[in-house]
Amino acid sequence: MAAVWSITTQQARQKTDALLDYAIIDFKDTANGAVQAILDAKAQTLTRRFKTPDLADEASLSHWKESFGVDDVLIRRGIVREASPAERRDATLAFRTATEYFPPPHDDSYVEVSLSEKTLAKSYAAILGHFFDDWLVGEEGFFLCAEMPSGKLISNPRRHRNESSTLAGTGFVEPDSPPGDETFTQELFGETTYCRMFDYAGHRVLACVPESEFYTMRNVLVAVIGILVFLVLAGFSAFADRVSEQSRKLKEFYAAEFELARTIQTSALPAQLPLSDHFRLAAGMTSAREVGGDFYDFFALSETRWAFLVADVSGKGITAALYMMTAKTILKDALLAEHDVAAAVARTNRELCRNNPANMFVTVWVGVIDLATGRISCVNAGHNPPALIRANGETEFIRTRSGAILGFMEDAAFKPFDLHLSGGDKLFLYTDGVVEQFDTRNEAFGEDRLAEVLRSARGEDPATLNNVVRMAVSAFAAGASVADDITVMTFAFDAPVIMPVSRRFATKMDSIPLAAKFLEETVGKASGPEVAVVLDEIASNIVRHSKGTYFELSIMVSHDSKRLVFRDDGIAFDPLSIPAPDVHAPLQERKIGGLGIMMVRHLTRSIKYSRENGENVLTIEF
Amino acid sequence: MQIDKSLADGRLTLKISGRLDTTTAPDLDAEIPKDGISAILFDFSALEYISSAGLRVLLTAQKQMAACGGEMKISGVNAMVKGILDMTGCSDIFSIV
Repeated sequence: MAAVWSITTQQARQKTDALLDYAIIDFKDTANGAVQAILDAKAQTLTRRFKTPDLADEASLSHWKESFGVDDVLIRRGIVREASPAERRDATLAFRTATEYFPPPHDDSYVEVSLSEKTLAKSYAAILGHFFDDWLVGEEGFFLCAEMPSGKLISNPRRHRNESSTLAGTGFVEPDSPPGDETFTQELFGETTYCRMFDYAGHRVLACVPESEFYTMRNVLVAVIGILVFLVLAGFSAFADRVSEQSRKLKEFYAAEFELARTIQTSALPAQLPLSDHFRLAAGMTSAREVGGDFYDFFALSETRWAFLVADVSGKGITAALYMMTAKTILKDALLAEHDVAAAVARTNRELCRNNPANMFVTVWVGVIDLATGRISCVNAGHNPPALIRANGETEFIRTRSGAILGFMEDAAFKPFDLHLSGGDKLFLYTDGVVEQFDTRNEAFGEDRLAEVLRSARGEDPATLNNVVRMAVSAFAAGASVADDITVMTFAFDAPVIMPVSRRFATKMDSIPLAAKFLEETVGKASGPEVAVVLDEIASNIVRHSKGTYFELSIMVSHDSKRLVFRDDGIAFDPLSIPAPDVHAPLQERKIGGLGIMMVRHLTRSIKYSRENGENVLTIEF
Repeated sequence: MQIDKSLADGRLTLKISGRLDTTTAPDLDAEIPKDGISAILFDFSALEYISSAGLRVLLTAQKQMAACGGEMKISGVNAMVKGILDMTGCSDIFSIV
């Protein structure tokens, strides 16, 4: 065994050098690529927004400069010289523009988006912190990025997360002479570590491999996979476009990956609409490009409590999709486990914070409705305000907020609030893709238009209402690109549930008026005499013929149906087996037998008999 | 159920309010003398509904009248009661006015 593990120092050094070389190239490619990909995407968006160079006037250019947080947006003509990968890698702060040509016939013009050094330094700071926090060099190696000159660490290996917040605290000692491209050793976190050091965008970066690292080609694979994950993470094909043949293959690979991810994501959303006498619900999601982070869900917590929610994960691409699936699962589990909706959201937030290497976050609006009362316990964690559409047409946005977005602050608390729905009221949930859809003049669809559409279509069923909104948004966009996922959900409350109530009666004539009274108390007189007649017929049959000791009556009422269930412990007897009497017989031959059950058949929607556990069970629906 | 009863010259008038069902039908039956009656008029204008137990009383009374050559009439029938009389074929037998 010892022989197997005994690698000569020379070999280890060579492999360590190679590994660190790779890691540094990855680091620079990724950091530059991330900034570039974001800039590229902005340039791309602008050519889609403007459509032609003529539409890009001064005002809209300065508008986009501001909203994209870039330092310049220009329209130029001619040919752009592409930077080579090596130029890009080494350019660091100098590489700061992105260009995108307009589509034909305007393809002699392009949009150029650029960042100043100052803005760029900020972008790099964000990226270095985000991407290299838990980036592996080999299997055990890591990056340390420190702001200079403060030496404050902005990325830190996971297993040493809480050991130090500064470079000096890791055990790092400034080398006597600048190491240049040479590998040198340091005692970091109490372990001998091979390091390479370089300065990058105002940061001191150390690529580190601890001596204990087991060197294999897997290291290289891990590094390469790191790049691939990044490409997806950035979510923009622009980056891959530029890096020649190999990238094209990668792009094809990821096109398939995206397709797969989209399928997984779509299949994660509930497809079957709930069937209920008390509410109707419809929801749908349209992905803008590739895979988005929107999701929705609805499920029963009990016979009378339903949860429904709409959420939006920051970002696009496979990372957003995977995080969306995680968030959806955690949220559902929490809602099923916790009785209190705010506790469920707080628990979800904690779990999302604990495992959030990519710093994703989620906004969510979740409601749990009690179908018996119409009361909804709600939590709004940074999500768009839903619209409450009353039966009389009054429409308002529910702006109450409960707390911050999820995945951000582990100890965040969420303050729940209540809404009360009556029969005929609707609640419309959506994601920002609806209100933030722009038209070709860069005007947003907005809440006012949404409210107007909802008011005019308030009488429609939920699925139609959703479609009316989607069509209105799409008509509004009128050819402008669809920027974000669009998710809509309509919850229509029809009528409260009346829980089934049961009572047991002794098998004797005196019980029949008691059962009639019980029915009247439960259903109310307004329900019509049919139900009372049916009760009289069935109960009197049981009392006269069953020879049992009790009968039990269960009553369940919804807004458009009633159900009576009779159970008795008498002799097995199916009243439906009684032949219908001859209702045209002369008076003297008329029999009463069978008349009652015939009336029951006529007065009800359905009637079923079964024998269960020694009981006759007669189920009657009106 | 409430029964308003009047008897004059062998003509019995019964105004029934409320429900004529298993519980109340025996009370109605008890109000109808088994002889000495030549005509029965049921006033159903305040009757909410009738079950088969009520029909039994009506059929028995009809048979009684048929046997003695008397007559029986039913007035003020609401839609629910009419529906049941029609459904059970009783409309063909009873004289509904």
